[in-house]
Amino acid sequence: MSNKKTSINIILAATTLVTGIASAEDIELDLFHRWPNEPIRSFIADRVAEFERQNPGITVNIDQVLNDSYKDKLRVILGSSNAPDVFFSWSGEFGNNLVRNGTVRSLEGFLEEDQQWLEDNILLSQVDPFEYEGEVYGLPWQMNGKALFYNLDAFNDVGLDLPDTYQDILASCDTFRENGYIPVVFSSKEHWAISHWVGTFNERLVSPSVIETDYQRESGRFTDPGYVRALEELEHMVTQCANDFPNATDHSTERSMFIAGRAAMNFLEYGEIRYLEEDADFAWDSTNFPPFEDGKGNQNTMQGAPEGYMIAEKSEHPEAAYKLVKFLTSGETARQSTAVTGFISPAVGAVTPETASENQVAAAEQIAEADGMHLWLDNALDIRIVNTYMNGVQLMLDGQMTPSEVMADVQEAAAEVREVASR
Amino acid sequence: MNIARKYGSLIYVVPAALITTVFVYYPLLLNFIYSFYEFSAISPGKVFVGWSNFKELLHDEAALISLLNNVKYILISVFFQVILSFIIAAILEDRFFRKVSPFLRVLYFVPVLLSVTIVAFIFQFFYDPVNGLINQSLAAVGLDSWRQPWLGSSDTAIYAVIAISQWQSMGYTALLFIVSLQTIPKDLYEASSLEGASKVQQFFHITVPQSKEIILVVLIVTVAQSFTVFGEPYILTGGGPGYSSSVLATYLYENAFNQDRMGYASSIAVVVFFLTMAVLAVQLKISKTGERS
Repeated sequence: MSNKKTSINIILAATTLVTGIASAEDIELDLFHRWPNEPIRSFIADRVAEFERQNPGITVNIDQVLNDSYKDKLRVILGSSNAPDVFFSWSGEFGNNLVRNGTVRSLEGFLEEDQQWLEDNILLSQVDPFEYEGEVYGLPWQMNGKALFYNLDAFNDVGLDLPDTYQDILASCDTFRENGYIPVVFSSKEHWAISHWVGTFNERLVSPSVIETDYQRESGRFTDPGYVRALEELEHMVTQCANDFPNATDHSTERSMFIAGRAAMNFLEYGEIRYLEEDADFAWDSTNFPPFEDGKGNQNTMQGAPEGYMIAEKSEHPEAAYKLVKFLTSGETARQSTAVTGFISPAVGAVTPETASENQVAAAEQIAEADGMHLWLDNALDIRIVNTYMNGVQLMLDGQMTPSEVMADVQEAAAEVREVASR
Repeated sequence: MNIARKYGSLIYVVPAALITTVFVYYPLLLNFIYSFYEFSAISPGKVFVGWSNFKELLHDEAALISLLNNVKYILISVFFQVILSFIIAAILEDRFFRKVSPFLRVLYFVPVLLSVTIVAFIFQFFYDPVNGLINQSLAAVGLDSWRQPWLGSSDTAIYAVIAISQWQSMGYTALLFIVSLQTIPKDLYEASSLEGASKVQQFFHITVPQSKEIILVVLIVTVAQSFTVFGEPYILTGGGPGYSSSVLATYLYENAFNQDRMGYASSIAVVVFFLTMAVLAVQLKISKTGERS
C-alpha cells in the first residue's frame, strides 16, 4: 500500500515537473495579416502549422482583416497592450510611420548573425524599402508591381498594335469605342486605386529629384507644374478612354469588366494575375506602363513595393517572432507561395518555370527589367496628403474641382505635414 | 433600521450608476480632455495644444460639409421617420385598413430586422451604375438620360445614402406610433364622428395631440441617430466622392483611425456631443414634455 502510494506520488511529482518545464518553455505568438480571403488565408495557416510542427513549444494565433480595415486596426492595436508579435506591413511611409512611433522592433541584431541567410534567400533590393534611418525593420514576402494589361483579342479585333507610348493609348481610344470596347477600364471609388494612376503619372511627368524632395514629409511642397499636368492627363484619359461613372466603380468591378472581355486595357497588380489565369477567356499580356513622349520623369520605373512582415516592439518573444518572420519569408515558403497565392516572391530563385506560371515568371522579369521601383503613392506619402490628394481627384473626375485646385489643396496639406514633421 | 431604510435604495442605484460612470461618463470626460491634445494611437506621448483642435475645426471645410450632411440627414429623416411614418401608422390603424394592416405592418418592419451592413451591401447592387436595378430600370423604360452614378456623384451620393436609412427605419418608427395609437380611447373618435368630424379633422384634433409624447420620443431618437449615423455612409461611399457624403461620424473616424489624429477626432466628438445635447434641450423645451395636457 505504502509502495503504491509512493509510486503515485512520484508519478504525480514527475508529471508536475514535466508540465512545469513545458509551460515555462511554451511561447504564444500572435500573427496579424491582411488576407481573410482564400487561398492566401489557408496558405498562411498551413505554413504556420508547419512552423509550429518544426518549433515545438511555439503556438501561433492568427488574426486577419482585409486591406483598408487592416490599416486602421493595426494602428490602434499596435498602440495597445495587445500588440501582435508579428504583423504584415507595407514598406514605405506606412511602415516608416510605425517605426517613427517606436512600435516596430529593429531587425538589425538578428540580421547581423543571419547576413549570409539573408543574401542567400532574399533579393536585397526588396529589403531596402524596409530600411529606416539605416536599420532594417521588416522582411519582404512578396514583391508586387503595377502593369498595364492588354486584351490581345481586342487589339487583334480592331486591328491595332500594342501602344508604345501613353500617347498611343490615347490615340487608340476612339477605335476601341467604335468597336464596342471600353478602351481603358478605370475605377476611382477607392483611394488606393486612384493613387496608383496618379503615382505613375507623377513618376513619368515630374523630375526624379523633385519627386524625391516632395515625397519627404519634411520637405514636400508639390509646386512643380508636372503634378498639375499629371492630373490634367489623368482627367483627359478618363474622359476620352475610360468607362462611365468611375467614381461609382470599385476595383473588383473594374477587374471583372476586363476579365469579361469588355475592355482593351486595365492597370492591374501582378498579384492579380491569378484572376486572369482562372477566368479570362481571351489572350492577354502585360507591360510596364508606357512612357510619356515628353515626360520629364522616369519613363521606365515601375510602381510597386515589397510587402512583408515586421515584429512589434512590444513583443515579449522577439526571438521566436523573428523565427516566424524568417520562416514566412524563407525560400521554402516562397516557392510554395507563388504557386498557391499568385504573389511574386522576392526570395532568390523562387519564381521559376517549376514553381510559377509562365505569366508570373514574365511578371518577375518585367519587375527586374524596370529601372527600379517607386513606392505605391498611398504608401509613399503622409496619409494626410494622400487623403487630400485622392479626395481632390475624385472631385476632379466628378467635375467639381480643377487639377490646379486639387494641387493647391495638396500643397496646403503638405505645408501642414511639414509643420508636424518639424516639431 | 432607519439607516437601512434610508440607504437601502442605494443598493439598487449604485451598480447602475457605477457602470454608467465607468462606461459612459468616464470615457466622455476623457474625450473632453483628449480634445486638447495632439496624439496618434501609436504615439508614445500626447502634446497639449489647447484650443488649437477646435480652432482648426472652425475653418475645416470638410467638417462643415459633414455637418451640413448631418443636417440634411436630420431634415429628411424627420420628414420620413416622424411625419410620414406617423401618417402611415394612423392610416394602418384606421378601421378601413384593419384587414390588411397586420400584413402591411410586417412588411414595413422587415427592413428593421436586417443589419445595416447587409442593407448597405444590398443597396450597393441597386445603385450600381452599370448593372444596378435602378439604372437598368430607367434604361428599360427609355429614361437613359436619368441614369446616374448614384453613389459616385457628389450631387447624389448623400441623398442615395439617406434614402437607405429611411427605407430601413420607417417601419420601426411606424410600429412605435402604432403601439401608441392603440392606447388612444376609441370613444374620442366615436364622439367626434357623431359630431360630424372628418378623418382629417380627427387626425389633427385627436390623433396628433394624443400622441405628443411618442412623437417627441421618436423625434429625439431620429435626430440623435441622424447626428451619429455612421454605418450607411461608411460602407456605401466612405464619405466620398471627396467629402461629399461625409457625415461627422465618418469624418471623426477618418481622422482617428485613418489619419491617426486622435486629438482632432476627439474635438469632433465633443462638437457632436454638444450639438446633440443642444438639439435635445430645444426639443424638450418646445414640447414641454411630461406636462401631458
